Amino acid sequence: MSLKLNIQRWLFSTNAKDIAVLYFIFALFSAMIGTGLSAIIRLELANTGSPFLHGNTQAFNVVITAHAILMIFFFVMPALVGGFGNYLMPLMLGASDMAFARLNNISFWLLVPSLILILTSALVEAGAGTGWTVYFPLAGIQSHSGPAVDLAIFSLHLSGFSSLLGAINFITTFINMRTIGMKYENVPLFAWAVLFTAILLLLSLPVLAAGLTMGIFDRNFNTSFFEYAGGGDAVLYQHLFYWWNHPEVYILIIPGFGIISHAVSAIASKPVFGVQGMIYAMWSIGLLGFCVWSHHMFAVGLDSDTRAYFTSATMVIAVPTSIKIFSWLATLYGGTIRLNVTALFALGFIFLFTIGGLTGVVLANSALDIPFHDSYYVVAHFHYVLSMGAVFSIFCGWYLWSPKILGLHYNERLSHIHFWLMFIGVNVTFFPMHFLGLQGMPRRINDYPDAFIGWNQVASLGSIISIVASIVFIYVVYDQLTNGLHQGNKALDSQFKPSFMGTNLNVEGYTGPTLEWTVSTPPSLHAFNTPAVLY
Amino acid sequence: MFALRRSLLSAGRIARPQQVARFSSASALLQHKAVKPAEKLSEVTGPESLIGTSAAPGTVPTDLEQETGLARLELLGKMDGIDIFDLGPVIRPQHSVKGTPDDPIWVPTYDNSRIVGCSGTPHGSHEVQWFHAGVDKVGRCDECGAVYRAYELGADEEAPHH
Repeated sequence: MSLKLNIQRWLFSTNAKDIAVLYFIFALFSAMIGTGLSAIIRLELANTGSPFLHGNTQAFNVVITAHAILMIFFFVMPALVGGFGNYLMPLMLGASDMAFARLNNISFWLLVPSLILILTSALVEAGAGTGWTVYFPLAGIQSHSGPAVDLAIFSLHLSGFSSLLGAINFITTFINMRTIGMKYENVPLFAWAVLFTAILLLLSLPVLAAGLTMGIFDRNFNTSFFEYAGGGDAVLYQHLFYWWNHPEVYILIIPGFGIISHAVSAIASKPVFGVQGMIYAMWSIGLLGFCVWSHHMFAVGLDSDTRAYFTSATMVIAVPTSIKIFSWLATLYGGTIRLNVTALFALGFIFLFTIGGLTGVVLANSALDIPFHDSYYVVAHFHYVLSMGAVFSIFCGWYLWSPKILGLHYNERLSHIHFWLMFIGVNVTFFPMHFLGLQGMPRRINDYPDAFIGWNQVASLGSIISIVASIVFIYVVYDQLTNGLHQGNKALDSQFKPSFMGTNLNVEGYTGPTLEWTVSTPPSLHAFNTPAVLY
Repeated sequence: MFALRRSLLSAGRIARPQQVARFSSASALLQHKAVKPAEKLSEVTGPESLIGTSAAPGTVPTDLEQETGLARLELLGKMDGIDIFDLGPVIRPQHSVKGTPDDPIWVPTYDNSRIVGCSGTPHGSHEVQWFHAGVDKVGRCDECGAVYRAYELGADEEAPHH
């Protein structure tokens, strides 16, 4: 293909599948940088006395800030929503593309300058050492005087704008683009998950944008929204931030829920147990997500009635989450389970996400949260739900759908090695952090008393294992792309043959409970010539 | 029904842009062609008749006054109670009858097969199964065994049944 055609196809793409591939590439790139930054964090914390950054605490803070923003905004969200969402949601709905194809292109290409801005912010002057929460007054002009924080905030603005446009697109696609005869009750769970994610994005991101804009004004135009000296209130920023941030954690995990539902159904050869319950559970998680933001702020001095409310409301979220966990278990129960790598990641997700959820219930108690606040217990909690929740679901989705998406098959044995290395690595890294947190080790500090050396060394060892696992994954993808045709039909077959969908009467392709399995492999850019029809 | 839809769709192909470009406005084009804009579905004679009448100067046009082409065809259809693009849910012919190899459920297609989702008989009685129903080879639901067969929508072809 000539350069001009390549530019036309990839730079100006209006095809959801091509844009999804761009998102995957972008996410992989960001994930590698984010993983590199995590390696710096663990090297620094591998021993006391700041062995890696030699006492440069600002640099440490810059690294943790960039690590979090890269992983959240430029890895997990682009991969789950941009990648899987763009590729699979139109296919599952029987749509030829997203509702607003050109808007889709803008959504993606806004992310690139956004990534450049955040990387630049880490490199100019002293960098943005604010933590990814960008709290004021630490992010104010007196504490961070250079342009780094402004660049970081602009980066968040741009990526937020990208997500907003994407959200509008997904919601419209879901409502308008379902194929003939497909009612809401027939829409697959992943598409529902993307819809709820999009709604959460749409309702929460403007508030973040407002908070950040007020911060920009405080820094550059002499306003004092968050400045006590001028009559402002720094806690106001936290309220605005967490109004967005708590839905954001569900934005990160709900598409993962959707992927795990499909994976569990595929590995157990059974339809998902309680589909409608699953949909209502996601909906209720999303709604409740807007009612619990202050549980991140118990330590700012909320009165006890407010803390009682936010404690209770937070715990209520355990109910729909449990509905999902038990529905997955009920789907597995009695199924003919094939323990392929998709199954391993799905089971790993269910097991480890449950642990993360349990520590979440602990942290929901305001009385317990005050001592645990800003300790490594919190770091352990959110890495269990993200590193072992959202990231495991990305791997699970990759192993489930990538043979379909690419028409190329991965090496099953290597993928098993990837899983076990990853599983051991992340647990060795993050489980000891519970102990460190309970012992009182604070987060976002680059040095610590000698008493914490033991578990920190274990955690750093675990991070090395995880990095090796990530390298193995990159090799799996490389091998898939270069030798994928020679690895037979194994990966796809291991999902769907033999199964409860076993007839040989059909004309072509696989049968399945969702539409994406029935189209050609890999799906053609315009997958449905005659639209599918549901009787 | 498909024949009706086909002929309406072909009638509704929008006027070619280069033709329109020569005239300063739609009404100038109409004067030139001297074709009366259709205000009812029965008055549609071709693409030229599917152009809005435009609003009186100084007023905001209504949909009926400004819609053109396929959008106008759809609007005129709606006014006559006809859903031109079949956007409603599919009502299976012989809704309570399950397709069998001898008497399959016929599925219209523009290719030699079509992806069909079966939700059981009656509708919604099992999880949806998606599969291909071909012109030459039937598609069969793994859940309930219902048989579907496609027929090609040719020029003057009608459905074999129903």
